[in-house]
Amino acid sequence: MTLGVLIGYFALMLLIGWLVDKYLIKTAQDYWIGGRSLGFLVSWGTVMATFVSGATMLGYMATYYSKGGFASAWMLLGTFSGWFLILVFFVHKVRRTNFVTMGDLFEDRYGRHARLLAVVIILYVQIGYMCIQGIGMGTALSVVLGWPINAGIFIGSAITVAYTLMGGYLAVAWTDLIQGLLILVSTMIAVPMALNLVGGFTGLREGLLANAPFFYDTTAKGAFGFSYASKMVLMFGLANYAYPALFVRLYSAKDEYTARNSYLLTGVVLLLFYIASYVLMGCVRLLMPQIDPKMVDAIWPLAVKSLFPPLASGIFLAAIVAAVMSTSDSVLHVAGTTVARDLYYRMNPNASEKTLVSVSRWSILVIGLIGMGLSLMRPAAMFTITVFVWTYITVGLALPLMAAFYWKRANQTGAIASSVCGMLVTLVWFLLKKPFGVDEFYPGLLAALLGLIIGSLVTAPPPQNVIDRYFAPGMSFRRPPSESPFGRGA
Amino acid sequence: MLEEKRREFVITGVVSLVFLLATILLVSQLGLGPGLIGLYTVLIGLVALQSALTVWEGAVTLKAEASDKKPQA
Repeated sequence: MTLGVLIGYFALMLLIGWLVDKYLIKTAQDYWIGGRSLGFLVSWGTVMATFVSGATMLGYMATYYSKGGFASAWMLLGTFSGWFLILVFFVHKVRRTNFVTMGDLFEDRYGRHARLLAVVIILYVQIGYMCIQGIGMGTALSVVLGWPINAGIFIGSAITVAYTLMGGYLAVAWTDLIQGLLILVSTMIAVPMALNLVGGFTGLREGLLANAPFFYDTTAKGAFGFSYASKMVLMFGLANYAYPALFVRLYSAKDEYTARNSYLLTGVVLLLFYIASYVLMGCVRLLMPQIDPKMVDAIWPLAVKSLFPPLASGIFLAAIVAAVMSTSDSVLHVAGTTVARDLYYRMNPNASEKTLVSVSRWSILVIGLIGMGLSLMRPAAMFTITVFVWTYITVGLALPLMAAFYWKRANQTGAIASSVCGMLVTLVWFLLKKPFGVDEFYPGLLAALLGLIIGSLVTAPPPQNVIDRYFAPGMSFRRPPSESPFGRGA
Repeated sequence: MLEEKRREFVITGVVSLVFLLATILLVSQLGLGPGLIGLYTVLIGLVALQSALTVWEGAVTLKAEASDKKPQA
C-alpha cells in the first residue's frame, strides 16, 4: 500500500513534466521563469513548497526531537524574520527590476564581474542544497520501504531531474503546488493521529514534562546556547531573501501584487505547519524515546513506519518525498537557468530559444548528477549541511543584495570584496576549528560587512544612471526588449 | 483584472485570519512555559503584523486601481 501511494505520486510528477513540455514551453523565458505568468495559487504553492525542504521535514524534525522547544522557536524566529524582511524590503524592489536571475541583478547593479562571482556562489550553494535533498530522499525511502539508501537517492534524484528537465519552471511550479498541498494536508492529518496515541494535549504535556522537559523548559539540557540561537536568527533572517531558489519566485509571479500575496500566505500557512511539526515531534518523543543517535535524521520516517497504519504511512512518506522533491526541483532549475542564462547566454547573445532551452536542460542533467554524487557520499548530517549552505548564502550574497537596493554608494568593488572576504574568512575560521570558540558565521559576516563598506568607499561610486534606476521613487525598469541590457527575458 | 485582484485580496485576508487563529489555538493548547510562550508570541505577532500590512496595502492598491478605471468607464 505504502509503495503503491509512492509510485502513484512519482507517476503524477512525471506526467506533469511531460504535459508542460508538450503544451506550454514555447520560449526560453517560459522555461526559465514560466513566462512571468504565475497566478496566485500556483505562485503561492511554489513559494511554500520551496520553503519546506527535506531539511525541514527531516533535519528540523530531528532538531525538534533531540533539542526541543527552544531550538524550534529560535529557528522559526530566524525563518520568519527573513520572511518578514522579504515582504517589507524586497518583494516590491526585486519584482520591479523585471530580471530573470539573481545574476542579472548583480550585473545591472554592480557590473559583469559581480555577476560572475554571484554565479559561482549560487552554483556552489545550490549543489550543496541538492546534496541535502538527495540524502533526505534516500533516508526516507530506505527507512520506510527498506530500500538501500543509495537506491533511494538514485531513484528520487532521477525522477526529480526528469520532470524538471522536461517541463522547466512551469513543471516545477505546478508540481510544487501539488507537493505543497500534500505536505500541508499530511501534517494536518498526522498531528491529531499522533495526539490520539499520547492521550491528547494533556497526555502530551504531562508526558513531556516527566520524560523530556526540554520540550517545555528553555534552560533544560538539550537547549541551544545563546550563540547558536543568535546565529539561527541572523543566518535564516538574512539568507532567506538571498536564497536563489526563492528569489526567482519573485520574478515568476504575474505581478508585484500577486508576488506579495503569495509570499504572505506562505508565511501564514507555514507558521501553523512548523508549530504542528513541533507538536508532532513531541508526540514522537514520547512514543519513541530511544533511538540510535546516528538515526536522528530519520526520526520522522521511522515514526511514519512504526506508528501509523499503511495508508497513512504511504501518504506521510509521499509528503516527505514531496518536501524533498519540491526543493530539489527548484534548486536544480535555478542552477540550470544560472548556467544557461548567466554564463552561456552572456557569451552567446544570439543563441536561439531552442539552444537556450537545450543548454538549460543539459545543465540540469549535469548538476543533478553532481548533486546525486555528493548525496551518495553523505558528507555530514542533513542539518549540519543545511547550516553550512545557509552560512555561505549569508556571507556571500546577502549583504551585496541588500546594499543593491538600500545603499547608493555600494559598488562592484564593494560587492566583490564583501563576497570574497565573507566566504574566505568563514572557510579559514572553520578550518582553524573555530578559534576562541566563536562560530565561523560571525567573523565571516563581519568580514563581508567590512569588505562591502571599505571596498565601496575607497573606489568610485556607481554610475549615476544606475543610482537613478535603483533609487528613484517607484523604480521603473520597464523597457522594450531591444533596450534591455540582457536581451530577451529581461 | 481588477475582479481577479479583488478575489485574491479576499482569499489572502480570509486564509490569513483562519490560519492565524488556528495557530493561536494550537499554541494555547500546549501549555508552554513563559520563555517559550514569549518566543511564540513574538512569532505570531510578526506574522499578524505582516498580514495586516499586506492586506492594508492590498486595499490601497485596489482602491487606487478602481478609481483609475472609473473615468475611462
